[in-house]
Amino acid sequence: MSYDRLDRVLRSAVGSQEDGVMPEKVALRMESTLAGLPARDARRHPSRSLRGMGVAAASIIVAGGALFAVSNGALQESPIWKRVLAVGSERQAGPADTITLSPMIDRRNGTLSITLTQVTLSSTDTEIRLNVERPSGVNLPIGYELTDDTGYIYQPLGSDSGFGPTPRNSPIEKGTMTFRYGPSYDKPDYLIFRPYEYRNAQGSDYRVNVTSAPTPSHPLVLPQGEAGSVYVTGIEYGEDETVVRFYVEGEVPWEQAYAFTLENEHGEQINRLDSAFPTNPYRYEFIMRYPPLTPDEPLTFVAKPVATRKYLGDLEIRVPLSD
Amino acid sequence: MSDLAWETDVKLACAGEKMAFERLVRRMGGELYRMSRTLLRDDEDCADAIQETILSAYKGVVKLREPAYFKTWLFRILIRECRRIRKKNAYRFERPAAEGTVDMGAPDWDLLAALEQLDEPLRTAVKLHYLADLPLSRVSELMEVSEGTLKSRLHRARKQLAKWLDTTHGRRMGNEL
Repeated sequence: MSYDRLDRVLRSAVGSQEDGVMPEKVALRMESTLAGLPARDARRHPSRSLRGMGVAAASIIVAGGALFAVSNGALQESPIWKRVLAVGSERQAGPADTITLSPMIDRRNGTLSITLTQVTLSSTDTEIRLNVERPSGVNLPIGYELTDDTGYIYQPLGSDSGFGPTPRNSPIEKGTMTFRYGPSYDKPDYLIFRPYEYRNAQGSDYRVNVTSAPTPSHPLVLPQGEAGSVYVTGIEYGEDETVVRFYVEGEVPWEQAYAFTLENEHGEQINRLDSAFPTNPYRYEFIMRYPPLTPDEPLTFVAKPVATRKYLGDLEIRVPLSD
Repeated sequence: MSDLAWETDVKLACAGEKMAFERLVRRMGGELYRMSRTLLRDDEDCADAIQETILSAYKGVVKLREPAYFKTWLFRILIRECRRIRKKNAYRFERPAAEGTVDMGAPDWDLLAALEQLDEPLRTAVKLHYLADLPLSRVSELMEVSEGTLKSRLHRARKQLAKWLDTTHGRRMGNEL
């Protein structure tokens, strides 16, 4: 056989190969391998470490562990793993690993009293349940932050509350509250549940015109008052949408991520297609999607000032996670 | 994933960010599979090769000096793993069971069987160039040899294949395996 003919035959063999689509069993193996990769060890949370933490806090180091699998920043339908810490309950059947919290943890600040009843950790979220006693008919301006020993601030995902009928003229109402947050990304030794008072932000908006394409090494920096700053690292102009990549550094990253906007040359706000999506929650990195724009279109980023929090130390609860 | 997102993730992965590494691997999943399927003939082996590649790459990504070569570096690890698995399993080429009808587009099983008989590194060179349809420049990069060396290897491989396939005995090679 001549080499030329062999060459043609070999080239024709290309068409004989499989269609190249990864079969499900290979894809599943790849996913399980990725999910099982250990977190990098001996790492503190990078953002908090930049914010001048005290010596004691800064020396806390958390070893990574395979137990706390990563969910890639997106909420999943059903958790890969789940762990429940409950007050006074027996070990639960099923996939959840239940640990009894003892003694009960309660805190009081004036007329507000909270008792921790259950903490649920899973690959998709972290849930805190409380019994609450509070003044009747008063809407307390209090928020609830969850952080851990790495300094990572968990993404707030919503809350539920239920307060039963209160006797007439009773100064106190009793009920339960459930707070949901994003998952853990390392294996923390403990969580810290930190109630805080809302405060009003001081200062004015900060505007930056886009004169050159921001990059990760040369981001656009937008100060957000006392809370910190947002860093725009890229703008991608697509046919269907424009994607803005950014990360935030500061004391209240999840509020900061929603406190900046984009304006056109007429000073009109360009509505985003949906909320900021965390691409790497652990580093507070996000993308924001806008309608299609062109690179020559004058754009201005506007950062809103964001207030820091006044934490209510009397109500703070530290939840140990080691058995 | 845009170029910018890719570059950002490569840098983050090299800095030790697990999630960035995961995104990159997922992005390359199809290419990794196709490459492994070119070098191995069984999906289970491909899954093994990809798994070992991921573990090895995750361990070494923080030492990668040139983030720009992440893709090439990952493919090189995969090729190495495929060769290792092939060696371990003492690969044998098996012709699929004959169907009742004649498929005019059916591959040349004798040729594919002969390919499996080539020694390394000739076999990988032929497969990457002809079956994976990669240009010479890319194959030489992945195999870490000059284009001249690669051409020489391909020449030797074709010579060997032509010799086998020109003989009647050689044309039956696939049946005899």
